Amino acid sequence: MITCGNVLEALFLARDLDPAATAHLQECARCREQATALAAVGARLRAATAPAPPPGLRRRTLAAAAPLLAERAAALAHGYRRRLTRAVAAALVPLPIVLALDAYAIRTLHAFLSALLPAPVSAYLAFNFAALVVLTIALTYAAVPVLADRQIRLARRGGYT
Amino acid sequence: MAPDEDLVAAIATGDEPALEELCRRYERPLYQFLYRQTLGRDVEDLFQETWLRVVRAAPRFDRSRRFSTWMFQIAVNLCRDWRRREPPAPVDPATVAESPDGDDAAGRIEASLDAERLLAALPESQRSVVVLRHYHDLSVAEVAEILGCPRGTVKSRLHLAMARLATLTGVSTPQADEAVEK
Repeated sequence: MITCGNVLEALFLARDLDPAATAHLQECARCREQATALAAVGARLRAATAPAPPPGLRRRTLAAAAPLLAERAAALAHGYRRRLTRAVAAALVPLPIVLALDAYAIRTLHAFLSALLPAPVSAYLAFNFAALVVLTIALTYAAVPVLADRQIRLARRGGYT
Repeated sequence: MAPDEDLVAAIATGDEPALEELCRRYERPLYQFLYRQTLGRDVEDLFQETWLRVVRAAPRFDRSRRFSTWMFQIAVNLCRDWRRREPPAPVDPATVAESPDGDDAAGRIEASLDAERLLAALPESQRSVVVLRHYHDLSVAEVAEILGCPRGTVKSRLHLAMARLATLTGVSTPQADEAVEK
């Protein structure tokens, strides 16, 4: 059941009236009077047209903001380079150990195969294994900057949420 | 068309075209909001300062919020700071209904009651609510978020403001008079 209070609240809050409130207005002279008064106020307010922004305001605003934007872009680029360098450096730390272990593994394999197979065959197999190891290491290290870049971007995006 | 929130994220990385696009979208509403809030004083300065604050605060923007609400919140805070520095010229509500000439009451009111003077007759807290609700068509919840106050406060301010405006425009009703007296 709609009351004068409901209708008046909608009128004062400038809400659209639902069909029940509209029907109430037709029956209630007091609310109708209030609606007319507030409609007059609303019309008076709407009659006021604030001036359009002056020409060139946007351009001046962008010019004022340009140094801030440039500063931010430079800071981000610097931060990006620093994080990328740190990621690559961190990845390079274990490289000597990896290379040493791989060299040891290749030598051991070659020695083992030499005991079982003719020298050219064992050398061929050891060379293939060495090539595979080198390729794996190269691919792994090539992926480091790509993965680091992805992580940095994800972290940045996470920062906005 | 990129959503406003994506543009703010781009601004946070120093993207100037993103700022230009966002500025283009909100140039008019923001300018007119500031114009009505300050009654036309220092609008350009406040407009620029609002965008500078948007750029500065862009990295901290919460993407779950609407950009327009956030931007108006910044503008409202700037207007508050501005008002502390620049006390508004006193407006006597009685002068709002004064007539430049003529005896006819209706004509007198028509001649003198322009909306700008009506808005000037409202206290700042009520003016903000009326401007955001009536000119920018924001919901009570959005207005409450922008002004940082409960919805009930927005409703009561809007009620008081409309009642006062009704009285000033000479269309007062018992409800309006009661509200103004409160």
